[in-house]
Amino acid sequence: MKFAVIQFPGSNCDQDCIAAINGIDGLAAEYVWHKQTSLDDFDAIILPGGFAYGDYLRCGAIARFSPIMQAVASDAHAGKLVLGICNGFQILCEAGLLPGALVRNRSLRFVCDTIAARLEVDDSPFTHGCPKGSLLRLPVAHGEGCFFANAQTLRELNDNRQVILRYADNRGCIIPEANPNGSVENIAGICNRERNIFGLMPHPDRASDARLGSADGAKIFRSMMQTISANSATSERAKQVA
Amino acid sequence: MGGKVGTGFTGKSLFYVAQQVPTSLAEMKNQKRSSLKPESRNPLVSAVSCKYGETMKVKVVVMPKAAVLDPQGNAVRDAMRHLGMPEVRSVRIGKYMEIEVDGENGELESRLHGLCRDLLSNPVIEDYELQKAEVPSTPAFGVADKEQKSEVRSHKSEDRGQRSQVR
Repeated sequence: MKFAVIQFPGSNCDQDCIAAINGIDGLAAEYVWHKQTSLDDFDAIILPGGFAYGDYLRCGAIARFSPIMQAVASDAHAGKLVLGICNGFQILCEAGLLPGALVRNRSLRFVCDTIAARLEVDDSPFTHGCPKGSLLRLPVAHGEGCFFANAQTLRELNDNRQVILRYADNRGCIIPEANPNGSVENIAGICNRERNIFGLMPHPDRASDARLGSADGAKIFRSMMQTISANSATSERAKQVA
Repeated sequence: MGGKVGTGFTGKSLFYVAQQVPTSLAEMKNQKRSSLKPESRNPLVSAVSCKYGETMKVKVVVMPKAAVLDPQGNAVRDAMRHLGMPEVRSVRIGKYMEIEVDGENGELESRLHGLCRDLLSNPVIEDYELQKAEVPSTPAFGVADKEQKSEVRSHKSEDRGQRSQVR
């Protein structure tokens, strides 16, 4: 199974993603330069963290017009799994593939820390095997990770169970003190309505080995692998029936 | 500047305003300048270019929407209060861009509006205002009215040496 890791000029977590994914049995990852136009060879797409185009204008504002983004959008609409991490999340929001936007941290400081994120759903394609309420310990490193959505969007996110992760304290309580950036309702990660595009500010790529302090991030990549093999098994069966 | 930035206007209404402005060269030549009474002109586009040249200067101001928290503005507001101006009620910080475009017509302007929505601002969190600027560009932060212009100059003449010392 092959994952694409998109490299924009200014991406700096692309190697972390490659290492994390290649460290999982049955998964392989390859770099895809942002000037390329096809992602047909890949089973899933990762938009890594970093500072694409130097974060000029707004984070992700210029990267969303890179040639590869058309392939990302069309493959996403066709149902392929897309994971946006940190700057990748910002790019997905700018591109309109995820609702809301990410703005300057309320503290005005760049936060670099390990946080606990609480699972808010138990059926997402990205979090198989992680029951609702369980905690993932993941690093965050961002200056503009404060999730904003207007009241209506927020209602839709909650009604459709699109909020996947919220910042929590070590006991799993969603409190303002556990919120590193001022995100509305402590939101750390959301998915689209069809549930195949997932964006999050914490870095699963930097927490995929116990030697790095946490291996919780690997759960997300493993879950993606399970989803893809389950989906392909279903489509195989459908073909046989036809 | 129009002074209405961030108060909930929509790009659509701006676009409508932009359509009212004589934009093509022929149209502008036909229309005597005196026929454009100042009060009949929209303040947003009062700075309609008077040069019948090839370049259009455009200013774009992007401001965070009222619902979006502006911690940077709040920090500056607090600093202003701290420096002896408790009257400061609020500060909001946005972006200001000066853009030069070859050619001048309504089609270019509507394309510019498109880019304002797609690239220069994010409609989820920001509002934008597009102003056509007068062509002479000095002072760099040129303003529409002449009185305001001279005011800007006087601000510029105060150089760093005259800034009050940090207490």
